[in-house]
Amino acid sequence: MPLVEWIGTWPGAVLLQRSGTAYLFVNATHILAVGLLVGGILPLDLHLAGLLRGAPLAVIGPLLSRSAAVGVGLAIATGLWLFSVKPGEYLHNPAFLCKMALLGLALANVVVQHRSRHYRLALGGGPLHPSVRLVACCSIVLWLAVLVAGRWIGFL
Amino acid sequence: MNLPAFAHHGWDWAVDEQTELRGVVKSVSMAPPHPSLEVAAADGVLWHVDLANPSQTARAGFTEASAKPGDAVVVLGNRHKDKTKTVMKAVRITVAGKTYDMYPERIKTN
Repeated sequence: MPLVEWIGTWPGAVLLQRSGTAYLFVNATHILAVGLLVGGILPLDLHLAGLLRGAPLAVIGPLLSRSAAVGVGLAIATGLWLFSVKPGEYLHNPAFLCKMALLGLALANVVVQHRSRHYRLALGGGPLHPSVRLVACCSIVLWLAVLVAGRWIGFL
Repeated sequence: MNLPAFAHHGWDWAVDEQTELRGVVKSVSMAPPHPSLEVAAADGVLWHVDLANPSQTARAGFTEASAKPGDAVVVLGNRHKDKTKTVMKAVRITVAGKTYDMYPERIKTN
């Protein structure tokens, strides 16, 4: 697989392969990004599911959603960087493959929610349609599954 | 192709007993989170040998230049609990006549 081999030789990968300290900082940033993501999406989804109250959705919805989006973007960037350190090994790690599949589902779920007319109505102060609650519950399950699969990578 | 498993954190995946693996270095990886060696045993079986974390490995004196493919190596360590996995966590390796203690406090000698 020449592409996989090439990924392992780009300067960013070489930097992390040579420096445990540089790796540690990128790893810490990945954890920070995951914290931002989960710290944004869980309160939002719990609110949408009707399990957490305290502020109007029109106020907290856009903020939590954007904060989670920043987390996702940063997590994907740092995740790709960490992946490049040992691409061949990660591609043979079942937990990693499982995490990527779950991540794909979680991102597809984000698209479903954001395209929903009912979600936009709810953000505008309208009633919470059951479909919005259902997608929010799927979101909770999927993001927590991504988190656990990610942690599992190092324990196989 | 015998693809090595990806083994890492902690010790619970490995047996308590330490065994010795003798073979030839196939490749050396210093990449975090765990530097590792691929070792071809005398019987031809390919082993994945996890070293300590990058800092501990450096403190043991082991660098990228310490081993190269073709070097004879003796690994003392704990193998995977799953006997079908040829994966080992090294506590001490001896290569090119030098000994590197990855986990000095764990080394059990007779």
